[in-house]
Parts: sequence; structure tokens; C-alpha cells
Amino acid sequence: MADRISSLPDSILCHILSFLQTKHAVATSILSKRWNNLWLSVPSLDLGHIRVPDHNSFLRFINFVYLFFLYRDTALPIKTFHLNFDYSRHQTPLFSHCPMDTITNWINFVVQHRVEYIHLSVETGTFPKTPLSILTCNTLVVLKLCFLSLGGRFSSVLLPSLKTLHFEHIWLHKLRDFMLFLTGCPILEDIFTFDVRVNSVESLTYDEWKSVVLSNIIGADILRFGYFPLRIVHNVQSLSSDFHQVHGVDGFISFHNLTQLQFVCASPRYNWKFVLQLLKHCPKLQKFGINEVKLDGGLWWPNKENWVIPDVVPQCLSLHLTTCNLLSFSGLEGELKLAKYILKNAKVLETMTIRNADQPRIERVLSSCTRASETSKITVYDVPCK
Amino acid sequence: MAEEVSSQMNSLSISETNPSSSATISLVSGDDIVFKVEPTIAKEMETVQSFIDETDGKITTIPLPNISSHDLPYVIEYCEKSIAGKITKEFEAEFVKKLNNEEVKELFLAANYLNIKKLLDFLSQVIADRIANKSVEYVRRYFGIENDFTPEEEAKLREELAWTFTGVDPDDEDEN
Repeated sequence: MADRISSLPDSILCHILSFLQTKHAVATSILSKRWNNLWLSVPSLDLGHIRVPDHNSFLRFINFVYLFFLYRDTALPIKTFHLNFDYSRHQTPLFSHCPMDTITNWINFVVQHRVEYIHLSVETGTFPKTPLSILTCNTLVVLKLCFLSLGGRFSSVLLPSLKTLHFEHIWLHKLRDFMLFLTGCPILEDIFTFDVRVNSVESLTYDEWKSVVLSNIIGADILRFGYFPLRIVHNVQSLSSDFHQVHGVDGFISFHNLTQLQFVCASPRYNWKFVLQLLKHCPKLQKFGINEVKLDGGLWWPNKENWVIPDVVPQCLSLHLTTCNLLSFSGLEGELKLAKYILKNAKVLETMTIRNADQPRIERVLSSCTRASETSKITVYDVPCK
Repeated sequence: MAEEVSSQMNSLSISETNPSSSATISLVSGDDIVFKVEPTIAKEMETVQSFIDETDGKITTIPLPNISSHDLPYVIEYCEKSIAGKITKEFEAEFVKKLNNEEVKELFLAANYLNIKKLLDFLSQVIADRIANKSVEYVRRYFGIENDFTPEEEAKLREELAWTFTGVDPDDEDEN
């Protein structure tokens, strides 16, 4: 085929280049004269996953980044910054200065260049400090931080454009810092956490609590963040979490917008009282699921069957629940009771899906029990016992 | 054949109780094959929709001279999935598996011409994945680019940009 791609306008070609890691985008400058200077207008610095085995490769790498900054027109924005920097702590003595200082300088630079997307992971085993300039970046829309620490020194957080927050393997100095962080994100829509550790559980005072209002929040995926105050995401439509109790002031509050709820469990032993209590506080719930995920060092619920039939049927069961997925069914008495209870009371239930681990006759037992919704369908998948 | 399939689909939808499919839009490919689509599909294609809007919806047959009858069904399939909110990683993986390099480029040009943002982003990613880590020669062949640098100019550029040419994959045998 004739070279129709090259005849497209610059903006379209730069659009393709923006999906490449920066070093590949730069390499296209050698294709032909048409392509020679295109990479200079690509608004992204995607360094990908960088492993530096020795000091020389580290120097080559920082040289690359500085050349990138030098060649470009400084008036153009850098909308995307992605770096997954990986070196083991045993190598640290190889470096004459801390790599995090250099990375912090780059972050400061992209923050000044109207960055909208930052994905920064610094896998050193030492949890270096999050560059403070990130916390007041008013153009930032998506922030993903991994293997960093946060807190202690920052005075205020100002992220008026932030919509997506992703914290993975993060050390927080104080729980309070995290909540103050959220107060600086007025239009946050999605929050994802996995493995957030807290040095001090010192929380906010009641008055400070009131200022944490995430009114635009849509989805929350909260895993391995034991002290996460669920209350601050009470506006969510979709929630996935591994909680088995509620932290924060005032205990339970209503999740009045919630339509999708997924429990993620590290072991098949649930705190049924908590599950039922939560169902009671989700009046609009349409989709409910329990999923077991193998998390190393995950929480282990007390080994007891604490199922109690609630005195009032939760409103979501009578009015809204259409889908129920029990994806870690191991045949415990409580699980069977929950499944039966939902079948008996969910009037508009359409499907119940069960992934059954080696318990015979589950399908027959459930098919024969009373159902509030005649049209509901039960599907059982058998998976071999682990 | 496309005509036949779409008329069958029409008769199916008419036999249902709700004949709300008021005016279907006819898209005419460069090789003169007519594809009838629902107005919602046309909405996904900004170029088509603005054409319809400009004529206050009076014109419902739209010629697309730059798009062949081979490529148009792929575009329509993607738009249908998009409307249904069923663009998943699995769907995209299956979708792209069916396409060779030429088809990816043709569809990219079609998506650009029709101004379908989601499809354009998706295909940009596909093209980027297919040229990442490849040698300059491979990427030239991939796009059909003629090298207009003199050997001296190219050697100089390569020297200047040596910092980017580390860890390039060996070229694939299969070029298509």
C-alpha cells in the first residue's frame, strides 16, 4: 500500500506516537524527513519500566530524560508522565546520589508543564517520599502512585482537577494525612487502593470530618487498607472492598447511591453480621457479590458461623437486587443461609451465579428452596477444591 | 451480500412490536455497497452525523468514497459494541486478532475519516504495539515509508539519537 499514513496531518501522527513509550517515539525521527521532528510535539513522557543494574545504566537513563527535556519546545505541555523505576535496595550504594532526588526534579518539571496523568512507581523497597509538587498540581486528572510514602511534611493538598486516584503499596504517616489529602480533591470520581499501610491511625476530629465531602465519587476499590474510613465514600455507586468492620466516627452510614457491591475476602470466613448490616445500608443495591481473592497475609476472620436472620428484610432485596454472584462458595453453613435468604427475599432477582468449590448437591438444594422471584435463574459452576 | 444481511435484520426488527427504527441510514462504501445502519450507529461517526445534521436529517444516504466494503463492517461492528457498552479487553483482543497489518492501517484511516474517537484511540494503540521495539527498517516497511535521508544524513541522525536505540527486537519474518 502507498504510504497514506505519512500524508495524515501532524496531529494524527503525534496521536499514534503518544501511545508509544518515549524512546520508541524518538526513534521514529529517523524514518524519513516527514517524521523527523514529529516526536517533539508528542505531549507525553512515557519511560515505561526501567531496571538499572549498575551505575552506568542509571547515568545513561537520566541522560536520556534530560535530552528529552532539552530537545522539546518548552512551551508545549507534557500531559502524561509514566515511570516505573525499579532497583533493589542492595544496589543503593552503587548510586552516588539518591535516584529519588532526580525523579523528584523530573516530576517538578512536568508539574510545571501542565501534566494531567502521572503514574509513578519507585520499587526500591524503601518507600521514598512522594514529590510534594504533585500535591498542588492543578492540572492533574489521574494520579497513580506505587511504592511511595506520603505525609509528615505537606501543609495542603490542592488537586482541583483530580478524578482518579490509585494508591498501591503506599506508606502513610498518619491516617489523618490521607483524609486531608482527600479534602484537596473536590471532584474525585474513582479511588483505588491496594496495600496501604498506616503508621499512626490518628484520625480527624469531628469538625474536620465534615469537610471531607467527595460528592462526585462514583467508584471505590478498597483493598488491603484496613483503616480506610468507608464513610468518606458513602456517595459511591460501585464499591469493592475487603472490609469486615467499619472504622471512623459514627459507625455505619447509608450508601444511598450504591448499586454494585463486591466483597473481596482473603478467606471464606465472613463476618455475616457485617455483611447483613451493610446490605441494610444500601437501599438501591442491584448487584451484590462475594469473591475470594488470595492475598498474602490477608485478614483472617474469626472462625465462627455468626449468621443471624435479620429482623427486617433489607430494602435492596425487596426492590432492586437483580444479580448475585457468590464466587467463592465453599459450602459453609452461613454461605448457604445467605444464598437461601437472598432467593427467598429478592423479589426482582434475575441471576444468581455460584462458583462452587467441591460441595455436592448445592444446585439441587438451592433449586428446591423458596424463591421470591419466579424468573430468577441459578447457575452453579463447579471448581475443584484447592 | 451486505445488502441482503441488513435487509434481513430490518425484517427481523419490523416483526417485533416496536418499529421505532424510524429512518435507517444508508452508508455507501467506495465500491458502491450499501450498508444500512441504525441512526445511533451514525451518531458514533462524527463525520456522518454532522452530514445528517447539516441537511436537517433529510438526507439518509451517505457516500463514503474513502472506505471499502471490506473495512466498513469492522467499523460498524465496533460502533455497535461501543453503543451497547460492550467494549471489553476481551472483545478488543478478539477484534484485533482478525486484522492483518494492512487492515489495521486501513481501519485507522477509516476511523480518522469518520472521526470515531474511541476507534481511533484503540487503533492508535494497536499500531503503537505493532511498531514498538522494532527496527527503523521494520517500521518503514510497516508504514510503506520511503527513506528520503541520504546515507550520511541517516548515519548522523543515528549517532545523535543513539540514546534511543537500545534493546530493539530482531525483525519478524512475517511482514504482513
